[in-house]
Amino acid sequence: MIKNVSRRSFIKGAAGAAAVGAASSRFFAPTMISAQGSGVELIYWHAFNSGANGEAQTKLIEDFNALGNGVTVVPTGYANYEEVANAILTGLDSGDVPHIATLSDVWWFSFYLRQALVELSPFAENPDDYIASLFGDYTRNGGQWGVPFARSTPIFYYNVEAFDAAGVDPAVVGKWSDFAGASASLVDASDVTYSFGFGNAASYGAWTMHGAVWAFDGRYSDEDFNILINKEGSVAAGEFMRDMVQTKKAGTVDNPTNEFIAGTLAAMIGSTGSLGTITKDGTVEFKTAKLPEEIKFGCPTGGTGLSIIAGATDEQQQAAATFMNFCTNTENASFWSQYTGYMPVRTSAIESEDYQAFLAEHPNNQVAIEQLPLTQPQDSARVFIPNGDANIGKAWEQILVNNTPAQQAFDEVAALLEEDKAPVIEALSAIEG
Amino acid sequence: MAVNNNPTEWNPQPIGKEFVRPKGSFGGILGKEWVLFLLLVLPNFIFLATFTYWPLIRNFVLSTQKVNPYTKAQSYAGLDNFRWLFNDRVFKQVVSNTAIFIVCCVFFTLGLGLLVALLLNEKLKGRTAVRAMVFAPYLIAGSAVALVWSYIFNPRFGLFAMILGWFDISSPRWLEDPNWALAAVIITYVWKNMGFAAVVFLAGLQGIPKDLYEAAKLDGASAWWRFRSVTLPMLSPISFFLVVTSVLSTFQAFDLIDVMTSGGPVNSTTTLVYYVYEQGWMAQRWERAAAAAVVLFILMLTVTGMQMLWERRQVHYDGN
Repeated sequence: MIKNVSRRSFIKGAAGAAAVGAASSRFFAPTMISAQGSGVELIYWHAFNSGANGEAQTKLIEDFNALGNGVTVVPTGYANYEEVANAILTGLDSGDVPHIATLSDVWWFSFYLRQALVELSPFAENPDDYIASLFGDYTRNGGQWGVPFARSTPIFYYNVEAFDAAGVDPAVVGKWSDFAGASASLVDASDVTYSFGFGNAASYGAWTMHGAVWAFDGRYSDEDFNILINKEGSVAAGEFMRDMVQTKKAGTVDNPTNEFIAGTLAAMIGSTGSLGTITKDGTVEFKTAKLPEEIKFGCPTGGTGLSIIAGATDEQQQAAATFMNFCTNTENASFWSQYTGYMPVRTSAIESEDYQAFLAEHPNNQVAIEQLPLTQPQDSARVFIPNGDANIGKAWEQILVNNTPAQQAFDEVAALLEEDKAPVIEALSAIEG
Repeated sequence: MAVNNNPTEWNPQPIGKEFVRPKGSFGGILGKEWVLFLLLVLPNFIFLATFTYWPLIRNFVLSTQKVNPYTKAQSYAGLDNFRWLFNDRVFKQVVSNTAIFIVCCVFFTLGLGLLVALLLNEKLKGRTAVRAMVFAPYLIAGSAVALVWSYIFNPRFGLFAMILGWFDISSPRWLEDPNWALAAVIITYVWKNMGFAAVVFLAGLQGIPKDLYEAAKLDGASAWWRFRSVTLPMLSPISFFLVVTSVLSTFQAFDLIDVMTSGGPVNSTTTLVYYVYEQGWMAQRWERAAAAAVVLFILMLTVTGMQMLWERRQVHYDGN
């Protein structure tokens, strides 16, 4: 085509196309929903396309398809939770959406507000067997809008060799101020670069620091969307972490999990969902611990659940429910947790002989189970206000990377959150009254 | 001027003379000509109107609305979204990032591309293999390039850190430091796209008539003067093409930024296109995303217009 047009028209065309491409805010996903014969092809979009999580997800799908129950799962794997949500958002208007998908802690609510989810009460098998706090995360207005699947909590990882080299008692990780006191020596006495690795906004920095904010008696917000991030406790947490970077040899890194695996960090806070990958790929000896406390203990839940997307036929909804119940039944909840490090989402899975034997051999996973009853749902500002996670994460970046005073950084993001919560509250009152 | 009235006979018109429509030819009747014109243009026009102009108009309209993404409630907001953008501290940084990114990427991509093309234009051993190697990065998916370069830039176990370590120099914290992150993305962009510029420049170099160089030599022109007075002017159409396409593609660069930095740290690598994505898909403020896209559109149009003006004065076609 380029050969056959003049330079001027080519350039004009290119300029137009480029500008329109940038200006147009929609891209269309291919149509993928179809039914074959008497069987049902179930379209499933998930966020696990690599590493240990990807392998476990593939196995679950293959096992399900091997059942020969007339339902064939056709999966599409995305790189992360955001990509799954973006793809569904894009497809909502055109109808190019999956029947079932993984929707993370920060995304399911957005689809609930759009009334794009199927109410799952008629479908969920043995609902009382799900871990109550994890199941309750998706309960809203008397309905159930998701079931827990790959649910996680943040957990404290530490490099045993660095602690041994510095002669630091691992018990210091129980309290932030104790850990801060020992931090510099961890770097001085070992090969690590940082005593503690903070993640950036893109690596869910707002989530990994959520527990710390609670530990300093702060909050991002309350459940009624009152923004509290720039109040005393949260600012104290921000200042404490700023001091960790400035004087305690902590640092911000692009990807804390990769850095920890490579042995450049003495400690980090990461998802239990990274346990499988760190165990498999890591070359350093490590242990896990509950999150440090300060004034009190605080640890949020996280990860993703399974939701059925509205618009599917009754047959497709039934098929999706069958797959959903398969992925989260006792046996598979146990398998998934063992393989990936995510929390087992059913009580029966934790109590199963198989899982108990696994815990006896894997004390790092045991810590996550012990911490689970102490977890609480996240503050609404991070999970229910759109982009709240990224905006709070960027405020943390300001503090940790740019050495901005916590009060200033949190004041700025508080103003943004106040503004962005308005459409959420408007939609919520339209749905829930 | 004599005109052949026989429609079956080929009757070329002298170049430079006014064209006179042959009477009784296929296009003789105005209506018929229009029908043919419409038949040829309509399919493309419908396609463009549906997928290009209509979304463009909708985007302009959306930029003047206040939208609730959940209830879809929409109301007229005038220029509020633009006011919001221009009062947003991050947006100012984004515009500045975009300008730096475009200028540096285009300058270095074209500069290095020309340098490589000049080298490849010489009769060197293994020239074909080198040409393929230079062009290969252009064909690799942006996300794969970004992933590899993220590791290369790692200040603790990356390739650059290792090389700098040999000279006892500590590596910059490329992707972790707001002062270095944009530079890291620019380096990656230039590495990926330089090969395309080199190949296009090379084609241009090979099209320059040798007698021009011989004439210049006879006039006693040095190598530098031959480059300045023959090569550069003769390459000006190619350079113009590359500048325009590079500027436009750099404006739209997304994959490298998304994979390498996600616009961070502290918004230091957020460009306008990435900002549109963030406001739309992540923050779900479609109206703000639309307003930012309008700003992007106007900027691209302005830059392209300026390039057109530059073309009239500086670009030499056909050796004239």
